[in-house]
Amino acid sequence: MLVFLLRRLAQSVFVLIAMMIVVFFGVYMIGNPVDILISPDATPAEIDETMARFGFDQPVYIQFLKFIGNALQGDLGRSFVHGEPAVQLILSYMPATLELAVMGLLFSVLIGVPLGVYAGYKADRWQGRAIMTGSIFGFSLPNFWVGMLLILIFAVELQWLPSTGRGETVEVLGLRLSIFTADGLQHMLLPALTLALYKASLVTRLARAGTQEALVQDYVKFARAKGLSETRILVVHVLKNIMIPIITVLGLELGSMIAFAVVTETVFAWPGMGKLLIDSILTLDRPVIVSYLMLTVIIFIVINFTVDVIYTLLDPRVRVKGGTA
Amino acid sequence: MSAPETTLAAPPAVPAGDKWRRINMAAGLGVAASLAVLLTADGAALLPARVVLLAGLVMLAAGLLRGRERKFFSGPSAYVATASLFLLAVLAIFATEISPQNPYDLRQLDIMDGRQPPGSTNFDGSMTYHLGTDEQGRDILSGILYGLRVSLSVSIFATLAAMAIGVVVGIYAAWAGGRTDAILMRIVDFQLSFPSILVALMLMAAFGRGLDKIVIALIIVQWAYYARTVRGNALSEARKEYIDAARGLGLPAWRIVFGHLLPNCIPPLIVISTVQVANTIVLESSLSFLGVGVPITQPSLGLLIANGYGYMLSGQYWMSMYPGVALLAIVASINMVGDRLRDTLNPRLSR
Repeated sequence: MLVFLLRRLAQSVFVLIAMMIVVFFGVYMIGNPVDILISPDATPAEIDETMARFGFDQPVYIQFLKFIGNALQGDLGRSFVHGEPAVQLILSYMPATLELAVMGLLFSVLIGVPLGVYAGYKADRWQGRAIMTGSIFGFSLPNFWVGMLLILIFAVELQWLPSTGRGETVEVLGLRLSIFTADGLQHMLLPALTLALYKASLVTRLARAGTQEALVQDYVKFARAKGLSETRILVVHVLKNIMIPIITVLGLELGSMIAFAVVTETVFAWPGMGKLLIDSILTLDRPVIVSYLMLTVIIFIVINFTVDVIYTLLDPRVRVKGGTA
Repeated sequence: MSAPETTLAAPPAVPAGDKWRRINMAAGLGVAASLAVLLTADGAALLPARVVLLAGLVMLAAGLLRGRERKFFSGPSAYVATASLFLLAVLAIFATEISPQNPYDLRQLDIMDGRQPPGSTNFDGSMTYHLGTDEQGRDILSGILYGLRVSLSVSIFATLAAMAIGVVVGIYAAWAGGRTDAILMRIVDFQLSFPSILVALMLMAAFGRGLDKIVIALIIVQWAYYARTVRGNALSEARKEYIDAARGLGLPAWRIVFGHLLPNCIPPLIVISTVQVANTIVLESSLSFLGVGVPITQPSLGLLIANGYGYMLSGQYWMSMYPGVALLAIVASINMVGDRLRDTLNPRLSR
């Protein structure tokens, strides 16, 4: 086990280093940041001075080593636009994204599981088919367009819910969150629903497949023989057994929720780190772009690592496979 | 020569020397080549390339379904999806002939006609804007037809190219084995551990906007997926008897790989790539919506939606609503056709 852990950890570190190289050369080497930092009519001396101040006059490998050295100390530069250290800036935007992603996951379970169980129960009837066709639309609807429609319906036409922003926030354990205020929840409802839609169709399909498999098993036959109502069989017995794979998949999807939040946050002007990333790309705020990418990579590495370790604990066969792969 | 193979292969998805195999191959190449021509800036209006494209797409569909039409068209949704997909493809391919105006020819635009609601006519009454106009007086319907063309051609070309790269890498990894295989598959794992939208955003942040750049980004995002699938297929195919038979005949390695292994690794990819085109359209439109996708001069549906978004809150819904409906229609019909194809061609995979 220890060997596996160490090997997996070494892999993660390798991935991190590889990403650092990709990000550095991707963002720092393409284009000349000096063009953006100083005015076009600057004298050559001024250009040289700026180049020297940012270290752009040095050879590539020195710049790269400096970047790595600073990155290891948690310093990824200062935002050109906000003037703050980029990492700190992103961390201050992160709670908004995390609560949106968690809320989105919650919604996708609350929508997807009942629909999927029902579709599995009525698999060959029109209800089941209708839900499955509906889930194709869930896959097909582009995230941002759904968000816009929801804004159009609930914010512009009906005026029930606010369209943009985060609403009132409270400080909980040092994080500014809006889950705990009524106003914040109202603001979160539409973006979380938008974010949840794609995953909800995924959950619907998983739950349907799980239910279909579970319904032919002996314990369901036994429960029926005992005279339990169909509702009780579905809600208590089947549900318990299909939730494990669904939760596993959703745990894996938390990372992609954070990535997809980029689109949702832009539509709803939700002040999370995804919106910050897009704004930074449009203003060419390189340190922020790099910090966002590095932080997201770290989040992904941590998620993948945790999932692998949990799998190994649950299913020792993976360890053998992991040794060769 | 083909007799021993057909009996030994168990069961051969594509027997060597099958005329449909050549037809499919030619159709696929025709689609890719004509798209490549159409994607270059001044080739967009070439009629022969568009005819080749349409013919190629129809041939590919026919090649896929031969003998299985009845199974494919087993419900009304299959007819509806196929018909709407065909209609949208024709609209996109012949956008220049069909659309009422060329939305990117500034001489045809009149700023006085800006932000007109659906159904209004222009100043001298010579033209009706059935779906309204945008802030520059552009007919939304024409914009959608042109945008559909950009969305579809970018996505189909990127998917085909990613598939080609993925197939080559996957087969090479499976055939070479050992360290080459391990290294290639680590790269694939590495890339697939990040969601595609994140990778694409990163690439577009580095590249900047542009039609060529988004195509490259979409290829990079997708190839690894095909490489992994093809490697898996190739490993299991390589153990089958028809490969042993080919070796027994003393064929050179390249002939075994290209003539026997490769054609049998591709069919399972077809279903994946159909659905993948839909995913690519959504991904491209999301990137364009975020402002890091196609250039303003050649807007896709996503960029049209983004352009109209600012007017949405003031109730001028048509500028982004109708492009969104078109996007939904194309993606949903591709997904439905893909769903039917999966049930028809690979019942094993159906969920």
